[in-house]
Amino acid sequence: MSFSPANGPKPSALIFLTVLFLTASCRRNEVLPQHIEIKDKPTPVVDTSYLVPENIGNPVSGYPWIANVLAVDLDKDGLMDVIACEAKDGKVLWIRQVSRSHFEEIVLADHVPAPVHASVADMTGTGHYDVLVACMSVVFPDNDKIGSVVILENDGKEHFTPHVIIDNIARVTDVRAADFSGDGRLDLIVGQFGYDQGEIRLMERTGRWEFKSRILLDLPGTINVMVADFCGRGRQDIIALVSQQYEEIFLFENKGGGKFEKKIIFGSTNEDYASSNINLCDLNKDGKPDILYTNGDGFGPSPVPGSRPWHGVQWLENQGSGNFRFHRIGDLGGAYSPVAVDLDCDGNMDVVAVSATMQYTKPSDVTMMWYRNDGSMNFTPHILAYEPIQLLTADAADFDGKGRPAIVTGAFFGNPPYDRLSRVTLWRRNEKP
Amino acid sequence: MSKRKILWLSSIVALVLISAGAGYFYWFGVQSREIAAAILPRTLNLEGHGPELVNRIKECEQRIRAGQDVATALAELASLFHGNGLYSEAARCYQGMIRIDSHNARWPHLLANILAGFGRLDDAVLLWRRALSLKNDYTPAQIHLADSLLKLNRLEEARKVYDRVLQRETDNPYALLGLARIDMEAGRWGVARERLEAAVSSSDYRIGYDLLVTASEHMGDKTRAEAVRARNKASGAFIDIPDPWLRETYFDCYDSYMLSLAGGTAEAQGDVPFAINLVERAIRLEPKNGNYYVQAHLLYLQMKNTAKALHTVLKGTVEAPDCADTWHELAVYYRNVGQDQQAYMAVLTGLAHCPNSPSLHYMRGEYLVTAGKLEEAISDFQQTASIKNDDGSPHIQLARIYFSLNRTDDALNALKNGYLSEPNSPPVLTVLGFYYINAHDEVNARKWMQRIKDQPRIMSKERTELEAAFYQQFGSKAVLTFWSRRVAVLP
Repeated sequence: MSFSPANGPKPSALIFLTVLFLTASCRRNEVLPQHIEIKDKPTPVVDTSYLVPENIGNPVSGYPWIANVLAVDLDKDGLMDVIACEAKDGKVLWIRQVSRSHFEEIVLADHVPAPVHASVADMTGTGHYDVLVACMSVVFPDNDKIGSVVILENDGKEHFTPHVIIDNIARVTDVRAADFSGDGRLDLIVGQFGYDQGEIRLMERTGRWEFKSRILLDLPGTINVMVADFCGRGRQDIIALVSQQYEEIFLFENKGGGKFEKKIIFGSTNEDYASSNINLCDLNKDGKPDILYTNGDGFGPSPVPGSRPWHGVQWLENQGSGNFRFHRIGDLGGAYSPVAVDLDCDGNMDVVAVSATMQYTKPSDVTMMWYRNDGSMNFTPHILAYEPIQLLTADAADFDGKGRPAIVTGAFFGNPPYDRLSRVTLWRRNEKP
Repeated sequence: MSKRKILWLSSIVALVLISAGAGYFYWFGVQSREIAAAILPRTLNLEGHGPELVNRIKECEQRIRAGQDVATALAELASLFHGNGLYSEAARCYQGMIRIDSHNARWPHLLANILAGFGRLDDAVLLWRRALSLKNDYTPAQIHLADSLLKLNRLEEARKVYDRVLQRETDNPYALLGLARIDMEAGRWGVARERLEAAVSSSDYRIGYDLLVTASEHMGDKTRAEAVRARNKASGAFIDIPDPWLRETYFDCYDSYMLSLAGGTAEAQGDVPFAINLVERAIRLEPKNGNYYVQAHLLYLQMKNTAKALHTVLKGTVEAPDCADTWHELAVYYRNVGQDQQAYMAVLTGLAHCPNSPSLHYMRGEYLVTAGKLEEAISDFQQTASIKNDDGSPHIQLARIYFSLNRTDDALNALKNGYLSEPNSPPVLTVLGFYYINAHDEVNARKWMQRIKDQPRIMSKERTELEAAFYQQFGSKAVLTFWSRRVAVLP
């Protein structure tokens, strides 16, 4: 090719330039993802008569701070009970189903410093459930080392003796028991939100109530820790939800011999994504534990808490070998406490979530949403309730022995509005059409 | 080749180019219209959105369907959707803009912002790389790209992007924080700590302060760790990197709460005038919401515009008299300028409207104490304590009153309640410490001195006074024992 002015451009050069110009004009976006799938949002179905609420346990008094409910047959009498954490009163409550549909409230432990989460495990090998309690001491922002782990030891007759396993640590939000080392003894994994400093602590069992601590993560904001064989290698792995500005979900793969390999399996770059809870389920029934995940914490850079348009519910599909795929289920302002439950008993696992941190100024503000699964993992939102408001925690179980699940919720009134109150509520299927 | 032939050939080429150009622009126009029209939502539920937003959306859609200035209309529509939380719709518009206005880095950046916000980091990384290929010095895109890579466990790639930011902005705290996280993962605690020190220095403790404590502890520097911890009961100061392109979408926001949030973010980013602009718009959209007046009032105070601050909070008490915080802020304002009579009146009027307000009861209690009406103040502090469960302050006030009234047992109970409410509250610890020192109770005094020692938020002056009191009460032997025990438990 020559551009000698004396000779003028050759025809081939001119044709080449023309083709180049036309090609360049048409060249665009080759590095962009070809199929960014963006789904339409379905319109929710109003189904507020689907469930019938009933207060269980003591009636509402003052402004309840029920931070956690757990459906469990604590005394193994065949009747489903509820363990609830009352953070303001410092009480761990057992709402016992003494006979079918009759409940009575028993204080399992008093003067517990702001209990916010309970799980059960047979820590002593007696065949009875002991109760593991995560204590923040102060629920609202506080960076002091005031957290603790308390285990309520069951003597077999449902008399519980508290053991302070560790205290004066960054505020504790979750504690679970599992045998991580494979030595036949239950260890503990402890999520410590703290505030500016927090951590995830593995407590290896060394004696009856003695443990040796090891820090697995040095970030603040852990809300939940969950244990299961996520990687399919026959060992107990750990999943942790870390909020604050990090907004990440970590997998700690148990490599055996006390070694854990850490990786991030979800992360949002929105520092206000507002992670609120994770929960375990096998949503697609493929035999691998998946993760349900809500983001709905309403606190942030405004004078009052409220919902954001990005709040909602999602699941992380376990694809095996420590790989997870994110799927959005639906939007829900102030979303907390996702629960997998086949609410309509159609054989497909649905999802229910509650809402806690909204302003509740609009009549359309939803407090409980059911995401109905069509069997192909397409979820249609059904509004189950507009009130009571400020529902922070939920669980699901068969309380009637009929094979039909019910939902149990707990209300946390840490901020106004202080109306449309509830405490611990059982939501059963409406028998009437 | 003859001149005539060259002229002839040149004319043909020119004609081809002109035709191609004209054809391209015609095709581009048609394409743009088709692209834009295809992505318009078939049905869009705008229930609950204000009429101005709905009208603007409809107008943009009409312009697109009519083929009038399609690119501008689609860009405006994208911003309207984005600014009002309609993210699926906004994302589709951005996809269209990427095709129509393909050399503008803004569109892939904003689409990436939405997708990465929902954890779709793989897609977002491609988009941010595209954005940076068009504008390589847009720092928010670089930081978000690097953060996404970090969250995808692609640490080496993340490090390179953070490094590129630092080549241009040597003290960018977000890049320093990201690199520190990578260093921490690799166990390079010393390097991580240096970066975090630089991050807190350049951001005035907004970025990196949390991990600086951890890194300092790992390096065995407890003094530095405690000094950072002592700065706040709970900081939570981290705020996302300012993003001018994202910020422009706020101008199209018609959601008062989102504007209030964006105002809070702008304030934390240090842009108070912009924050005021946003919050004033929130007030215009929802004039009966007292929280926004409080927010604006505090922003005006930061700007030292006291007249506007007073005007705003006064208006808040008129427009939203049932919002306790407006009355409380009004009372605080008057008190701070020495107008206690007006402050007290604001408290009383506020309590008439909001009888359960803990902050107003607390303030009335304080005024009653000042007036010597101790018995009357008790119920106000009790009321505060019953609602503000996590606050030790009302219990301290009650304890002071009971001590003054020689009701020592009640005072001790109040202090214990304060301790239960806020276990490491500096006032609770110091008052309890002083009490047991004065009561000659060495065992309990020692116990509280230990807790005081472990609380970095207690001022050194108070600490010194307590130690002196302890020394005076229990003598040098006791002090030596106390400190030797401390030394013995040190790691």
